[in-house]
Amino acid sequence: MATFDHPWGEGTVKSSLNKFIKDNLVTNLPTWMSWVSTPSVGQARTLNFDYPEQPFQPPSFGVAHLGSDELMKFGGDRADGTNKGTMRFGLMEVDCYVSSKNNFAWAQQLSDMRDMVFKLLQQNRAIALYDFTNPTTPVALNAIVRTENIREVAVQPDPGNPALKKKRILVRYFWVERF
Amino acid sequence: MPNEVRNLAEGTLRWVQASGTGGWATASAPASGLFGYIQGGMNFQQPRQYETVYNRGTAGHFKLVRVENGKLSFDLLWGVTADYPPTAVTASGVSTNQIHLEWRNTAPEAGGALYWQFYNCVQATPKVTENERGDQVSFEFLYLAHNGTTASGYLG
Repeated sequence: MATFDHPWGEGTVKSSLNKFIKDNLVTNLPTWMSWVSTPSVGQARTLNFDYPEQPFQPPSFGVAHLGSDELMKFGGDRADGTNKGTMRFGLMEVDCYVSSKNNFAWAQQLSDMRDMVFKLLQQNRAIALYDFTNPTTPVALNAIVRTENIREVAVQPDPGNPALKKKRILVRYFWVERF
Repeated sequence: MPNEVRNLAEGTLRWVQASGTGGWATASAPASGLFGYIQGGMNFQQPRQYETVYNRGTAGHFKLVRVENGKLSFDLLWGVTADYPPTAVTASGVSTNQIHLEWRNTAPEAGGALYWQFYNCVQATPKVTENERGDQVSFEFLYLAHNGTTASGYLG
């Protein structure tokens, strides 16, 4: 049996979306947010993925993926004349955090961060997929994942961290998983 | 052993350029292809017209007076135009573009497949609809006759 290889799966899509957000948020940050391109061990990051256990310091973004499900089957499972495939949709969570401690501008900053995410993902409805079999040198798959239904959902205050202000954005995306 | 029920994920639809009319005939090296991104809901029908013959005022028996051409319809998401049948190639021996269609359903429990064949299809009413999750191309083929279910196929 050949070595398992499946560049069209959910892992590829999650990594490609993460790469897109990382590559593009850097160039869109306002002056009150700092970006450290190569954080040292223990240093807080401006953008975190999958709820990491590492120092957390607002203002920062958090990106996590909440899984995927089948959206549409095709006749004969044929995605095209060559490949089989199924259309799947996934859900991505993008969180924005600021601290209101000694920060009178927190509401405006949080609102700006929300708008940054909305603008970025609405401007780019089709995001390129990359094969991350070799994570340091991703290879373009000449395929895309599309975002849709970008929306903000309500967040309950955290009584343990009253100064931590958060906005939670959910983004649905869909792609054709070939197999 | 009885076969299991077939479903959407098991039925592929292939086409081949037809030659002549009245059955499964193709020219040498005809164009052929496999439709992709077909959505659920493919259907076909071939109306048959019967006349009731009466015996002393009471329905006695039927006479088959007409078999109309069949109609096969399906929608797919626009994506692979190279796999669509040629629209600029006239089939040999006829005045229209014609293809044969073969619908193949895999039957893994029986170790084989089941087929339907549709002879001398012409494409009627091309239709394209924009859609958020993929623009839709609707195909409607008129055919002269069909054969099925059969255990042997032409196109694999």
